[in-house]
Amino acid sequence: MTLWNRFQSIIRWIVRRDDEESRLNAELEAFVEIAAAEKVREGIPAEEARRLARLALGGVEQTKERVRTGRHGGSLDILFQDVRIALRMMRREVGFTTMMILTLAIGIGGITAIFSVVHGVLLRPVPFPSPERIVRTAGSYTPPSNGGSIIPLPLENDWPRRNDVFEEVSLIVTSAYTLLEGGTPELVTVDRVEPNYLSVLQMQPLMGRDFIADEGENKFNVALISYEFWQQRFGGSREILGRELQFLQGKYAIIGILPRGFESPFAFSTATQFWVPATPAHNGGSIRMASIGRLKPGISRAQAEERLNATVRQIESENPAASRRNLQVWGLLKVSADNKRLLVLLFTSVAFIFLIAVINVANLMLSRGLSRGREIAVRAAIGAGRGRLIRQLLTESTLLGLAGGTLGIALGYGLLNLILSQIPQNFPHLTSIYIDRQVLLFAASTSVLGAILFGSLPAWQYSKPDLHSALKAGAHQSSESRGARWLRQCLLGTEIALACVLLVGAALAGQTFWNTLNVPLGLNSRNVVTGTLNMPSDGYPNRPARAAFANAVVERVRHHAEVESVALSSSMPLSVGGTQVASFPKGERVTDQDRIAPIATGVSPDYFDLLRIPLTSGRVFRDGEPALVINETFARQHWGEINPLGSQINLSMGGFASKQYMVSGIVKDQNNAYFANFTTPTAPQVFYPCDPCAVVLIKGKSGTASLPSILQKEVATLDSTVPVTRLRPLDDALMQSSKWANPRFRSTLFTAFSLAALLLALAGAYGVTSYSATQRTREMGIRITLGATHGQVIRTMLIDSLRPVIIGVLIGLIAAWNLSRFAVAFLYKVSPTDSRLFGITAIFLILAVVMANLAPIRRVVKRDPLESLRTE
Amino acid sequence: MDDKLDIPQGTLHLLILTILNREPLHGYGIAEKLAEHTRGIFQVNPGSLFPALYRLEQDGKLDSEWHATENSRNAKYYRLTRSGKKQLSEEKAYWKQITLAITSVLEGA
Repeated sequence: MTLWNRFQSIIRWIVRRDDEESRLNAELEAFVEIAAAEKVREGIPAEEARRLARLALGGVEQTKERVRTGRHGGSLDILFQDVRIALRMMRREVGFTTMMILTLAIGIGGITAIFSVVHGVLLRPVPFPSPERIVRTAGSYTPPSNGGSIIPLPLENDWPRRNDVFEEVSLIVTSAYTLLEGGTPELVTVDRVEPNYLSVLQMQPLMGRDFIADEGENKFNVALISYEFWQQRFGGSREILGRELQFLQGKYAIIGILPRGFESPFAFSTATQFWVPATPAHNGGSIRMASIGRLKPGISRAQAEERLNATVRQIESENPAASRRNLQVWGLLKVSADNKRLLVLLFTSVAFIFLIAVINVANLMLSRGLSRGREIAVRAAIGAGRGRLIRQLLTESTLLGLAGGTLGIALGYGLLNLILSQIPQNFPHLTSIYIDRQVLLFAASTSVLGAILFGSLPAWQYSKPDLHSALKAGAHQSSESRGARWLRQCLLGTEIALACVLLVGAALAGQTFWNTLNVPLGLNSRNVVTGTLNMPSDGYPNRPARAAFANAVVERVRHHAEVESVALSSSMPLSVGGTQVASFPKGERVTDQDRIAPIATGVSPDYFDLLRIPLTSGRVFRDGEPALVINETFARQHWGEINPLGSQINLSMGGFASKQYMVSGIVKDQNNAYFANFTTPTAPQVFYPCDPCAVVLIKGKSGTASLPSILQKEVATLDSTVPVTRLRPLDDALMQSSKWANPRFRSTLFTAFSLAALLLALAGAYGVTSYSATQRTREMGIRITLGATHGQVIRTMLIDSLRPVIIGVLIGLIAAWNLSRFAVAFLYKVSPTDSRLFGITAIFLILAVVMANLAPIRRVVKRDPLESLRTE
Repeated sequence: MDDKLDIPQGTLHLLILTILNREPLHGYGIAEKLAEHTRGIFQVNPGSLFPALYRLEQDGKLDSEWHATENSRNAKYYRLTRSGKKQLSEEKAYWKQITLAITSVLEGA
């Protein structure tokens, strides 16, 4: 009952506020009248009696305020009131409000976007329970030491179930299928799994159903699809369950959709888009070792690996002729230390930007607080207590924070899309990067935290106004105390320092990217287009069939007028593609090693000519000749002073069929460094005759524009079910490869971030200078009246305004000097403490601030001195 | 006795309830009665009295209506509700215990 009363009363005060207020007024008025009447009865004159009665009430407004705050729901009511006042203030100062909201939005936008990346890659839990028990297994053959071929183990379905390490396990074969939906055939990644796949992971489809046990027999063509494919292809429509997808490999009905980000714990290169049920019996004739399993509790990965290998040994002992196999057990995808560090750097950068934004806003609020001194003093005079004033100011900044936060989150969505369009495709957990509720919560709480941060300073400073001086007639602006001035300069110095650190970061990243662009590649990619032919194993079951098709394509493309030359290779130029084991027949052994694993690329004889790779000695092999070409590094490392031409090499891919070749030529090194940085030395490489090749290289006579459609058309004429993938200019392909994509991604982001920081810091400097210049209008007027030239006055003011900036730059440089070593892993051919870059950054930053400061200073100085004197 | 004391923390509600238990009164009347009963020792500031009245009313301890005073002015009269009476007897008992306890400590010492 009481609660209900209370609730009613709270609502009444909010909804019928005016009524309640006038009732309170009447009651207090009655109090005064009754008290006055008493006093009149005691013989005091009426006028005096009223005055005394009012005094007894001790300030009507103060009493009213205490009644309002003391009531239940009083705080809610005051909040509404504060919000009303704040909105009124914001409407009154549109420019100021816009500036603050934009500043905050930039800060929050950056934080939102980068946090969603950090969250998706590092923080978001894997979408299934006890991920530490989920493992992948994979096997590899130990190549026979005699150079002979590998003899596969016979079909064996239940090797993982022959021991007790798994609670549940599902064999898995990753294949490429050709999707025939829409115009051109498309190559997609399909995982063929046992029907218990999802129950290994203890999870359910987002929509639709799981496989059922006998669907593994391949009599039922059903498929689960990824969330991403569902969104991209079907726009998230719920109608698609039961729809059939046409693959070259058959028709499959969609029965379910997997949750978002599902495959990212497993994805290493291409994200899987489809899962179809299969039994291991359909996985080809030999034993498969790839599986996803859930370990029994208490079994470590090492124990599992040991026991599983013991099982493999046992199967081998039943088949003594078979080659030995090794089995590895891996946990889920781990994010590399480099990527973690990159994320930390990016997050630090956006935190810096956010801090700069907050400082900017605090500074703006401080300078506005000054011009609002009078308003605040009036509020205090008519009954607002200190707490109430602080609340009012904090309400204003919280509102600004929320507005900035909302806009910032919208900005964050845009920025994230931009980041995702630039992010290297080998970045881990890509499909897990999106803005979800937690990211939104983080962004919102950051906005509010920021609001409190920037709101507390001015609130603290202006909540104890000096009523007398603030209300003094003629005081348009209360003047700034020394403390306040110092505080503002410290804030400015801090934001300059932060911006300086980011600019140095951007300079280092930019220099690195520039350096990577100028790395000698050892080939000429000009006017070259590459594309990959994806010949399905059904139509092209063996090597001769594939080679025939590839050659037919080359012949047809060659005859186009725009084409200068055509060649084939087994992998993209400069990519690792495959390695093969090279061993040396008896008597051919030159160094201690009897086998090495060079990068091995199958090429057609025209390959070197097309890419302008110079031969240093010997000749290119002829069609059909069992000969190969090696690079200089291979020759140097393995033969040293001896001439390798004419030597014999055995090549065996993954231990299978070994072939013998003669070294016919040596080519200049290309930059084939393996990992995504350029510090790895050139690897030994062999170029052997296509066996067969699927990458087509076309060099145009002028430009590349018409080449892709020529290739598409000729392939379609020969066989319309063969998808041509990764069809693009070689330059683009190189830029998208992790070698260039990584440094470009970093330099783009750091440049963007540092520009945002610079912009904000300049706005901050402009604001502070513009404010203090206005404050000093009178002083400038006096100086000019006394004979100082404009130039002198401007110089004095400029130098004054630069003091905190120069200190900020110095601190920023020192900080950057100490911080940049964390970025060493991302730098190429530039020292993290490159003094030239540091110097350029400092000069650039100071010049930028000078430009930003000049305008407000000139504006004040150019004013008519007499008028300046009069205004104050 | 010219020295005026602030009302001890937490007792203002008790005093208001006690005074209103005898007769319904308006704000000024409550302040007068309070001064009268304590022989002017306790002086309640309207800035404390009115927030307390509003709070008690919100809690359902007090009821109020406007009617004329004996001098035919309109004023808001407060009176105890049943819940207010219950609260009064509880607080009274509690207060008696406290004073008894404090007195015995003071005299024992």
